[in-house]
Amino acid sequence: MSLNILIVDDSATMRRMITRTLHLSGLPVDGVFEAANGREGLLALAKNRIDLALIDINMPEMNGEEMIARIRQNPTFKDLAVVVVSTEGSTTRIASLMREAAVGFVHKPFTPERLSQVVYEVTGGTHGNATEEPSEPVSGPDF
Amino acid sequence: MEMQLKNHLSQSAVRTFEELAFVFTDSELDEMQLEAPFEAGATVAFDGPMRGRLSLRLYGDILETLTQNMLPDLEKSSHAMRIDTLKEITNVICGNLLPLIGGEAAIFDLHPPESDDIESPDTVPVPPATMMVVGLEGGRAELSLYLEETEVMDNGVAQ
Repeated sequence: MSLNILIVDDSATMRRMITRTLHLSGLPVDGVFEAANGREGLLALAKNRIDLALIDINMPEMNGEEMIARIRQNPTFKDLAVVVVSTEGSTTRIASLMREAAVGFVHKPFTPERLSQVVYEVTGGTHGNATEEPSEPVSGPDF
Repeated sequence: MEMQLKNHLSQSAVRTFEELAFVFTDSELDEMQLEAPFEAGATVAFDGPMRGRLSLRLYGDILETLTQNMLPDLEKSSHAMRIDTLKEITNVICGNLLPLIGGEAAIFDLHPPESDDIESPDTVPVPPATMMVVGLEGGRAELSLYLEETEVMDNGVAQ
């Protein structure tokens, strides 16, 4: 009963920071997958069973908004928890993301405690999948 | 007006250096910091209610410290990792600055940060809207904010 988490951020430094925070958080993290943009993120979702996606907004090739929109259009991922981790400061855009797609928002710069708390909250304070089925790739997603 | 922008830039930069990279900043620089050579630079361009770019240039031997602070598990950082760190710091400063000067409801699009590997004369024919220098352990950081064809009200908010 542990979490598979996808980190989508164009900064390798930020991905490593988030990964380290997750591993130190005490949360039951099983696997951490990384992607450098929305397109890579969708591919990672297609190949792995992911419980939670931490997604930046401003990225090359495909930004976080478009990636989240595609996730929400795909019924396969209707239950995927999405947290935006971004420098985004526009209350308009944040409200839109929270209303339509995301279940959490973490503003950069963040403290490890803040990130851990949001991850804990959006996963329902639980420890990953309710079932103990082995993680298997999702078959045939169509983005 | 420029003082408002400078205050906003200072607020964003100091917060980012301290909370993201875990380094203290100095407003008063010593001789070593003032004479430190160029190390690396990065720029983030943005579009929205106003267009422009934010430039961050580091002088001295700072980037390894910033990278190690952000990634303490890293034994030795690569050049690529250090530049990525600099680009992300620039990105975070810019992302925190824009709501201060454009208003919290304004929507901006930030372009991917680009590195400035060499110190070159600024090719932009206009001076920055504001700039600031902050001392860091082992050197200094220079930040310049460039705005294009934007009117800024007296309270520092763009219109």
